[in-house]
Formats: sequence, C-alpha cells, structure tokens
Amino acid sequence: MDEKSLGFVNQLIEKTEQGKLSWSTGFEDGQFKTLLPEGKLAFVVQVNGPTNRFMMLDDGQEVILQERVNLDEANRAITVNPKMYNLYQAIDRLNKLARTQALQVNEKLAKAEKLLATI
Amino acid sequence: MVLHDWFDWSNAGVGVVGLAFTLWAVWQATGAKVAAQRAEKSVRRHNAEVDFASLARMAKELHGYVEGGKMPEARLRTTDLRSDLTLAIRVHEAFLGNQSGQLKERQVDLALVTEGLNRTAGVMSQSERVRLLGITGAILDLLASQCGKLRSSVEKGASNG
Repeated sequence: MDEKSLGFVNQLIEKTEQGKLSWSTGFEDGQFKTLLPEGKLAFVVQVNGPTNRFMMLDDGQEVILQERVNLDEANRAITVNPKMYNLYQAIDRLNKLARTQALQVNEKLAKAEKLLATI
Repeated sequence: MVLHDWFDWSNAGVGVVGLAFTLWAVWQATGAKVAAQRAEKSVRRHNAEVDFASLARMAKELHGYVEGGKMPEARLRTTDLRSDLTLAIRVHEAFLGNQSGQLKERQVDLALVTEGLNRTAGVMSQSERVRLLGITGAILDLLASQCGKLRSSVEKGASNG
C-alpha cells in the first residue's frame, strides 16, 4: 500500500464535501471518476462487492497510483496495518459521496418524495 | 553656395526615398510572414480535420461493434481509438477550444473501458453494457461534432482567402 493513497483519498473526500469536485459514472459497476481542471489528473474510485479500489491517472491516462483493498484483508489488517483498514474505509466513504453526486441521489430522492406526496 | 544647397537637398531626397523603400520592404515582408503563418495554420487545421474525421469513423465502428455485441472487436477498436485520440489531442490541442476538456474526460472513459474489458475478458453486467453503449455513443457524438467544427473552420478559412 502506498502511504500517499490514504492522504489523496481523504483530500478527495474533503473537496467533494465542499462541492469542489464533480464526479461522474465510470464504466464498471460501482465505479466513479473525477477530472481535475484541464484534465491534468483523473481519480477513479470503485466499490464492487468486497473489493474497494482507488486509482490516479495522469493526462496520458497512465496509472500513477492504484490501490485495491479487499474486505478480508482490511479486517485482518485492523491491528497489524491500521492504515490499510483506514484506506478501505476511506475509499468506501469517498465512493458513497461520489455516487451521491454523480447519480444526483439527493435531488432524485427529493423529487420522489414530492411525487409521492401528490398521489 | 547654391551648389552646396542643391547637394544637401538631393541628399535629403535620396535619404527619404531610401527610407520609403525600406519601410515598403518591411511592410511587404511582414505581409508575407503573416500570409505564410495563415497558410501554415490553415494546413494544420486541415490536418486536424482529417485526423478527427478518421477518429470519428473509428468511434462509429466501435459503437457498431458494441451495439452488435462483438466484444473482441470492440476491445481492439477501443485500444486503437484510445491511442489515436491521445495523439490527436496532443498534436491539435490548439484547435480544440472548449471541447478539449470533454475529450479528455472521454479519454479517461476509454482508459477505464480498456482496463475493464481486459480484466474481465469482455464479460459485462447488463448495466455495464448499457454504460458502455452510452460511452461509445457519447465519444462518437463528440468526435463527429469536433470534426464538423474543424471542417467548418477550414471552409471559412478557405473562403476568406
């Protein structure tokens, strides 16, 4: 595990909560991506089953950083390597935020509530 | 005394004519340089249009393969399109305007599709298939639109001389 990954994921969580990043769906299930201005860097976060994944791509779409953490691995690492467990949790949290934004979950829920109220 | 004045005036006259010729030559050279730059830009814009037309054809093929469920062909085409698009963006970035950002986002999509298809050997869920169709369709639209913009600007350039 690259020590910097957790820092990047935490920064992305912070920027997403501040509404400074725009996420959209990727290709695979549970995959979301965001691009920094001018496409200089792209970040991809994916939660698919028990595996959490985080990637950083440069402007030539080369993978600069990649982390893949499995739930079993993360659970085993709680005492031995708490950073790995923290990374698993952080990717999970970032993925939820990215999903909420990319799929406009809150807006759609509010719309659904309004529609149901009118029936 | 009169002769001396006459020499002074003729010298001054020759100087003025010389200066006028120099200014005229500079003006001509500047005009030629501007014309050469304009011609060079026009050739580069035309090259960009040709490259983007080829990319749009490639994207159309890719979209067709995905629609037809021909995944091995789609995988190969995705890789080709990805590398050619990267090259085209690098070479023609000056002509892409505000679509440059959208093209870069599509490049990331292509990278994720290539990676995903290679990892799963083309096995996809139903929602992934739908997303793939959306991605290839959006790439096709964007490249066709970029090609149209470039063609229109080449034609405008040609009609402006």
